[in-house]
Amino acid sequence: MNITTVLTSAVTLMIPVLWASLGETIGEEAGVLNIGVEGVMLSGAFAAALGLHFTQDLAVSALMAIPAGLLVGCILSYLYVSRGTDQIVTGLLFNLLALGTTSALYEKYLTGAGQILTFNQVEIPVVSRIPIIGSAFFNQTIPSYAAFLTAGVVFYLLRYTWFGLYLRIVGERPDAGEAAGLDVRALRWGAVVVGCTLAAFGGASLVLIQTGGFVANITSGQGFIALAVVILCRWNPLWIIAGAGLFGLADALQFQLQSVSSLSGVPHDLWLAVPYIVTIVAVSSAKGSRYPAAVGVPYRGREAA
Amino acid sequence: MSAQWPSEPAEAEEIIQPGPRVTAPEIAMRSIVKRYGPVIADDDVDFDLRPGEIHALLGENGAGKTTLMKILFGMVQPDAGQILINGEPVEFKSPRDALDRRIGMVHQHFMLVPQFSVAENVVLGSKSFWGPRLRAAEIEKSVRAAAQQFGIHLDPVQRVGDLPIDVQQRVEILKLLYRGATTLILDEPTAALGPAEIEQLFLSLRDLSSSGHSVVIITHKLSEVMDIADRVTVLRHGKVVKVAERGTFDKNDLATAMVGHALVEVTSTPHEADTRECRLMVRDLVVKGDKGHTAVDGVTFGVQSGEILGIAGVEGNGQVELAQALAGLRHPVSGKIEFNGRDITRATPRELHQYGVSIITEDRLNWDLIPELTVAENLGLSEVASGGYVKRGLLRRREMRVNAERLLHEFDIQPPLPQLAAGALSGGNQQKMVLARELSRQPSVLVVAQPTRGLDVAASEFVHRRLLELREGNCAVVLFSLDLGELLSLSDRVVVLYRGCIAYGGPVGQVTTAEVARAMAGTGVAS
Amino acid sequence: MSVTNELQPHVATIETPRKQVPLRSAATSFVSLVAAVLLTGLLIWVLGANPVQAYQGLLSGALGSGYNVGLTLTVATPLMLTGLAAAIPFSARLWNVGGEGQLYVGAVASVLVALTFVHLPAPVLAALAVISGILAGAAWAMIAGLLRILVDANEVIVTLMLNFIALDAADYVITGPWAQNVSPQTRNIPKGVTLPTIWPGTTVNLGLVLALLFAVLAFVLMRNTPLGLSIRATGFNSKAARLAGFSITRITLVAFGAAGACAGLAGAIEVVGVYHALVPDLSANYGYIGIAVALLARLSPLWIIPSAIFFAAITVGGNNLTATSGISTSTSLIIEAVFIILLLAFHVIRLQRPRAS
Repeated sequence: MNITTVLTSAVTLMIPVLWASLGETIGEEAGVLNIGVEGVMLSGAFAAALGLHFTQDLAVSALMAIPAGLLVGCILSYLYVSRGTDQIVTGLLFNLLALGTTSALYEKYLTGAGQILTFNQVEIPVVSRIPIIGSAFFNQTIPSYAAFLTAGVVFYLLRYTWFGLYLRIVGERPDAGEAAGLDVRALRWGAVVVGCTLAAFGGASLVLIQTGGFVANITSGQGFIALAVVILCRWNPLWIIAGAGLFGLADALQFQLQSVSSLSGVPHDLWLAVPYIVTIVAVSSAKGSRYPAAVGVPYRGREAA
Repeated sequence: MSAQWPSEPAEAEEIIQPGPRVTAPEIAMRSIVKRYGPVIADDDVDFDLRPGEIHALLGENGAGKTTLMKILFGMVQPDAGQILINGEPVEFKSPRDALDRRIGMVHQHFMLVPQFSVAENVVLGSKSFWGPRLRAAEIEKSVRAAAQQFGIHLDPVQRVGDLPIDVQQRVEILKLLYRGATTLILDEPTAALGPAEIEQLFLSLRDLSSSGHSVVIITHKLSEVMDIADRVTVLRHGKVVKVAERGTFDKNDLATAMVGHALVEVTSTPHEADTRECRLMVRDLVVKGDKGHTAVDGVTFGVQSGEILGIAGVEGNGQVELAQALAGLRHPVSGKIEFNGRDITRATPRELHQYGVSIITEDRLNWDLIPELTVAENLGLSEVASGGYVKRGLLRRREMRVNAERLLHEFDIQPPLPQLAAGALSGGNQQKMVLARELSRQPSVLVVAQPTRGLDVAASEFVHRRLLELREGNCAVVLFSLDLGELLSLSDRVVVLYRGCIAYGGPVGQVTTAEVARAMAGTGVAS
Repeated sequence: MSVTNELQPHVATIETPRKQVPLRSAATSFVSLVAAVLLTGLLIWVLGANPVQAYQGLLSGALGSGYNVGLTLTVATPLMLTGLAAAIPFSARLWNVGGEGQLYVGAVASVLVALTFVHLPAPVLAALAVISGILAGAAWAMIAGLLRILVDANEVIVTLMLNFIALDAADYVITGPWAQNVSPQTRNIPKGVTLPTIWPGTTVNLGLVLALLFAVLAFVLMRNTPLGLSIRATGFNSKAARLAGFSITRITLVAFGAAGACAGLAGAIEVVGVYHALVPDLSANYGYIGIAVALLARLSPLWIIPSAIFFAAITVGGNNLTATSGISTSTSLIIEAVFIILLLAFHVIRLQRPRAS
């Protein structure tokens, strides 16, 4: 078992969850819990696959995630923020909707042999020569680098800008924000739409980095895992890199361990369960991690006496 | 209902010095109407605010005062009527509009984010969304300068959640002044303050007024109006019944205007319990708060049967944690609670019910009542939890209904319909429901917090009477109250909780209000 | 002495007592259904099929013949049970999203029992298999309950993860030592180990009766037992429930256990009564659709029965779509999801916000 191979694999596998976690962080900091992030990822994945199918152009396909994310983000914002529906239940049903829609569209447009295309790796000189971790971290694809950069941007956005401050206030005490003159609804809309766009990118990178094509339910719970990563890493984008990395590692190990001779008696299917078990353990050890106070509660607005 | 505040505060810290002179506008509200469904909160209300005056808006709970000011602050839209600033009609669609016109409001429940620093809370909303970098250092400097300018003692770096209530209030006020507010609306500002803090607040308000700011105080306390207001507007059931200048009214005038009749104060007559047995004994109790700090620090007291022990103290000195420990909702770190000699320190709420200990918490809608369940279910809830009203695994709903009807009648709760969802009852009736449930169990010990919070005068009288009746029936009552007047008029003995310790105590006949107030402020005699 | 107190306006936004289902919300539901049908019709058109034809296909697939009605009832059976699996914990504001996994675990347990104890008489083995399914499902669900009690783990995520793990386990059983080498499934369970057909000529088996029984039991539990009251009280306000003396631990475990039992039974019924083996697509998202079933029924066990039949009709009808219109069977999933989302958006379905956690 080669450490470098495992690490490289881990970094590749962590990217979709990283994108989704970052998107979810923004939404949750503003007070919106989006269980539908799984469906958002699926939509982004489908959009990218659609792009791939029709244009064979990787860059265009990647950008297709943006309109997908915006569309889905607006639908969810409308439900969560404007209509004030129960967030958990709405999110769950949205996942069903996304699953059904992408599966139906997939069967219509995307079956049949298509070219499988994925992003090539782009090596960053010098740093990639660092032993062991060099080639793992610095020989990845462009969307992967973009994800790490985005983590930094989101961190900066949340901590060091006025927008971030207001977002966090709206997630903790929307009534205080309102009383100070903030537009709670607009801020939450913005957060959800931006968050969904990032999550859609996560789905797109799943297709464009790993598989090169779409199958039904391709995300297999990675959106849900992102939810866990966000709680575990306490809404801190820098820690979230580590958290997503943990998931990536679990996934990478799952492949590697299958081939280790002493353990090959354990059936393939049970190895597949490893990332999910790791997630359960992660969520169980996040004691003391507290959601922003107003998360999950639709904001009723000024008229509430 | 009123206590005599000490004539001079323990340590007169000048909180707000006369700042730069400002000119507040003349504000007029004309023919304001606001309905919530079938209920009229404000019924054709006129309200005038002169620049630089301190104007009290007086009325019972539910009279429409807060609603009216929320309309002025843009939080609520009126169904009819106008707001005029310096004669010019304006429309406030949101608090932002009001703030732009330099009108600010400090709400009863502070609109502060506990996790954030003072500075972050003060600058809340003052810069646009899309502003550039948030520099923590710059913000701190700016807030520090503002605090100095207005002479407010605040450390910008501290987390708001760590500050005591009266300091939090200063943050709220600075927040408004920082935004350039010249008109300040304060909603029940003294609700959670002790006598010393109230005195300091009033000093600050006078300073603000003399530098040109207009101040509106929403209150239901007559004494405050007498102390501080230049003018008073009295609301009753949503209508203006009186507007008067300082010097032209006295307490009785106000009371009559507010309630429609003169006030009757309920006081207890000194009562000798039959046997001096200590029914409830608390020894060296130490309880930790939510943040891990020590909220109750080694408290010892006893309550005898047939006695009401009043626990006084400014909010945030450990009362909540102490009450929770007594209720079985929070495990003490060390120490003992004994009931008739039996150790109940770690008893669960269910066990406490079975022993005959009744609890009425201060946050009734959150802790005591479930609005979505029916009245009958609520009234029988703790019985069911202890295994009552059950036969062969099924609930005995008829019995529950009969019991409910009895209680509804006895406590005069309207409407007396057991099958109604409890949430459909008015606030006052809901409180009575909770009281009915707990009091009817003939408890041996009753722990009750803020029993008359949110109740109007008549309902408060009723509650006071029932508490005294319990005492006659040899129940041991522990009464937590922020209302010193209520506490002193009901209790046989009183103790003061300060920073988690008992700072003072004694029989009510022997303590003076001044000493109690001083102990509450932390400058009292250790006893 | 009478006291006048004004209604506090903010208290008025309380859900009306369960007994009243206002006319307005029935009308809005109908409009939502129409809207869902239209929106999905639009999608069908985009997919290149004729919406009218598609819907005709759907209706005939669901109700067109006695056999098809039977199919609908057969699918309604697991949906009733997964609906209960969602509704009971939801009533306590415990989000059991693991109905799918609990169903599969029940299926796995029952198939393993049926394939192992082959020497037992058939009816006994059938009963044993079903009971194992119930117990296995309950145990699987209680994992989430335990984790919630012990370490305050978020049960949404835990139950979702358990779903995926359960599916992996089922895949293993199907492809592993119990595999049948002809088609992708386990070996068939012994002949005679089955749930008897109660409507000759259709696939409707005794499972339907079991599901109806469980629904009635759940109704009695929720309405007329102290446990049911405690579950509902906890759902509305867990702080008040605790203060009244209820044990949150007990409520959590029982709610999850009951839920898992229902879902596990669904899995067992599919194995013993319908497929007589463990097959890969035993459940067409029944666990998740069960959530929709529960929501439409406003978490009421008796209303879950017609709700399940309604969703079953759409699901079964949807299976017919590829044959009649060449579009994906997933279309039924879309209709179901859009419908409930619209009901949520128009506040026809509204779960009270938890007041405290």
